Amino acid sequence: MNRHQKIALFNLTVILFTCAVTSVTVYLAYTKLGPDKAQAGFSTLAFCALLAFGPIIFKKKKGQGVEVDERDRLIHIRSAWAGFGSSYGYFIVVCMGIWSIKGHDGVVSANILPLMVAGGALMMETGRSISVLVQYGWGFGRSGDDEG
Amino acid sequence: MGGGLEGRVMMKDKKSDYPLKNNIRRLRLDRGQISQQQLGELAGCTRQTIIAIESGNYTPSLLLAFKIAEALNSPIGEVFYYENEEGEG
Repeated sequence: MNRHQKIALFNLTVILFTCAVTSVTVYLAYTKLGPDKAQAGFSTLAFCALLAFGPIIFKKKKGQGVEVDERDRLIHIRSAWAGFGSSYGYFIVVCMGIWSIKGHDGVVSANILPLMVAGGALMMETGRSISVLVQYGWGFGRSGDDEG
Repeated sequence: MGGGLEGRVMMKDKKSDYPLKNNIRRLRLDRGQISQQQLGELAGCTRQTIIAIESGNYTPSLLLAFKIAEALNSPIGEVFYYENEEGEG
């Protein structure tokens, strides 16, 4: 498993952890504090800041052969497209969903907007990370891998 | 987009989509047991890329194909060969 796969796996873990914690805190805030204060539970989305530590934890190894080649660059480009596609799809679903639920003259809280942006960012990183892992073949049980 | 990627050959998911076959594994073993890591360093790519090419999961660019052939000290036609749908080379 190379550095890019490790970072992608780390990112997916952080995102899953953040989503799980946020779900619990929003539920608790909703039940304990009431619907008006439920949005306070979304503050745990700040755990996403851990995503910044991926490239720091999995540093480049200097002087150990080629680090990035044409296949890696191709995978990065395709993964970026997958990430943008995921977030675009997410925004379509969310925007059209809200519009269809609230109607053409409906009103939503402005607090929805930053949550939508945070969700879009999470979708983008999720799509990108999954795409990286898929294109590298998940890094497990490679055929033809005959020596270290 | 992405400097250096122009003219890059595709990377698809199905092995059947790759008409370009190769003899890299055989040549590596013939040329004094060159490891995938060593070949990658000689050709300027990662070991994973050599693995992907050998197993038919990735078709390299023309430049990388020439570098691999040079590293294996073989003509490119011996390292890579085209196989059409009828299985003819």
